[in-house]
Amino acid sequence: MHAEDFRLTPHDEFNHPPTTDRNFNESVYVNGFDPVQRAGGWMRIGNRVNEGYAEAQVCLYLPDGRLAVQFQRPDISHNNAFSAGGLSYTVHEPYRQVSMRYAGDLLVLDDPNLLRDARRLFTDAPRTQGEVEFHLTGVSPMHGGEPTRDDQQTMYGRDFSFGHFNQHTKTRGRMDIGGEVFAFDSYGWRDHSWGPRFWTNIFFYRLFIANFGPDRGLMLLKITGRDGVTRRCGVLQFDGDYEDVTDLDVYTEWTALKDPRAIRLGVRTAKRAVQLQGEVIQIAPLSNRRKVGDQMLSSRIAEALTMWTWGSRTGIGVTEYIELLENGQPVGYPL
Amino acid sequence: MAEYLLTPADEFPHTPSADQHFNESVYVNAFDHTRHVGGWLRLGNRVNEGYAELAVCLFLPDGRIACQFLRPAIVANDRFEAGGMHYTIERAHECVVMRYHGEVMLVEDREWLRKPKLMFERAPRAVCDLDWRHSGCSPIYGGAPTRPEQQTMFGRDFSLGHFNQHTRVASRLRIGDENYDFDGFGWRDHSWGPRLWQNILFDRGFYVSFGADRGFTLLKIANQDGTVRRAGVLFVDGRYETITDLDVFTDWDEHKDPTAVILTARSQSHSAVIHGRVLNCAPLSNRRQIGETVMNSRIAEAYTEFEWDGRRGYGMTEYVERLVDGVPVAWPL
Repeated sequence: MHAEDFRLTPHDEFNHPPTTDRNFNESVYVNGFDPVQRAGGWMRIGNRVNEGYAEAQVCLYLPDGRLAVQFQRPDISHNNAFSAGGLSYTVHEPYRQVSMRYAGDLLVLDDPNLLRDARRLFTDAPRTQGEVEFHLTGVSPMHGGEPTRDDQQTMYGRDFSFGHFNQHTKTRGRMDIGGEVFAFDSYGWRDHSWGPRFWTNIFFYRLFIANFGPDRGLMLLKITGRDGVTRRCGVLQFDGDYEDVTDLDVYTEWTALKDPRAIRLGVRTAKRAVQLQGEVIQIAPLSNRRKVGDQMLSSRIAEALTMWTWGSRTGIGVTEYIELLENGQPVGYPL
Repeated sequence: MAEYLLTPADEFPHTPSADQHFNESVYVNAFDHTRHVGGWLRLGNRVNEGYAELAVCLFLPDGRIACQFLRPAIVANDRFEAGGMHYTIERAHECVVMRYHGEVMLVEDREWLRKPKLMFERAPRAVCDLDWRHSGCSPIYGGAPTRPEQQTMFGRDFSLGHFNQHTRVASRLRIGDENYDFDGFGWRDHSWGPRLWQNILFDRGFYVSFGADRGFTLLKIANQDGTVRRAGVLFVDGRYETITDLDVFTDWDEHKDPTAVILTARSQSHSAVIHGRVLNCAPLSNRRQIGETVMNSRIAEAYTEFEWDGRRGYGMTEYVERLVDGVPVAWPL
């Protein structure tokens, strides 16, 4: 990514005027993970003001393998803030400090497979009150922005987000789940996107986000369109700087349920070629459905807490596999 | 494939361009799928430099490599015949024959291939009598590009025209007193245009047959600007399917030679997960002075057994890459 290809100002940390697109989305996402407890999580607010609601999501991975989650669609009437359904997001200092809080009901899952059946999830899962706070301080440059040219390729494609930026962070987290408190002072990542979005516009992708301390991390994307064209993009964070990837190879080992179990990555930048090995610790098998005309489109969104090895360094982060389902089968599997 | 022009006449030698490094080469490989014997041969006419590159590389069941590397003089590019090697076209696009009658070196320790002087001095010799009849069992893939901006498989600084085909092979192969005759499967190609081996920054090529109906030609390559491309075909049920994606993972030995590979490839119709195990590797090299600079490339030629959907195939894994300070530029990827 060349600096001149994207425009980013401190104002982009805040809400943008929505376009008239019915599916306009403006979303903020934060994560934080503790490699010692092998725990952490992510939270996201996606304002869909032209559809009158926000997507409010909390997904916490607990040290004992349980998940604490919430997925809501609270009503919103404007795109002036990131605050809905108990979630709120604050920009304390552009490019430097943000925080996300959640207070409300959480579903606590002994068996993450309950997430495959949304109806049972909401009727059967035990509930408790939760309070979650993630404070994020940037440890990397900002990556991305709005494209400066009409023909500029954006990271996820313009039918998924027009503007998009992200940053590796130090993340201080506190997760109070019905009185059980998990705290960490570790690392994480955040992003902010705006523009028209359908989740089902992604044919399939494999996204890897991880931290290996304050100076090293990765954000890697391999994405394939309906036309069969595959792109590879993203960055390695090395000695604090971002290096754009020039090549990325991905190999996935799968569970019987076609979820990722282990991953090998080969990554090349202008400065280095590295191999990484990932092991999935816990997975949240999410999904998204949308009716388009007469057709019901479904996507799987596998959110996998992953431990990584990069040479002698150990990292942790989230692996996200999004793909359309055709006849119930993920279109990118087994690649 | 409409992007390439190919006629039966392209099976025969082309009029050389004025480029000093004009190369026209034919290559065949063949493997016995039961006895673990096979290999490859190549004849590359470099008529404007006055010689041909002749290479024989045969992997024997006991682990020895029977090989020969010569630069016999040639004065014309009107045939593929030099140094004991002779390639004939019996029926264009259908049947070709590669023959070699001459000396081969019998290399027990493949490390000798890293020390050509030692190998040529000390390796025991035997007479090789080889006759490989390749009958096409796939379509022909490739040809000459039809548009100036058309990307070619290996890049125009490595070959302008290039085509290849999976084959069934009837092999007569005698080395000394040993009879290694077999009926097997293989692959062939034919290239023409300017070529310097060092114009490939790095590539990972896989030229493999699983029988008369299945195989692959897969290539991940970076030419001089470093941009990585993926190209090739899956050969499924007798048809070629152009790939739309390819990922390559390699396990390495202490010499940075490949020992195992994982390939994942996608075409419009298939997704393939393929595992390869290197059975033997010939660690070759190429060296050329360009101006004041001497450029070295490693050419790892690995005889490899592959598994794809429960089927077993055999063929060549070829890693070509420049050496910088003696280290392959693409390693460890």
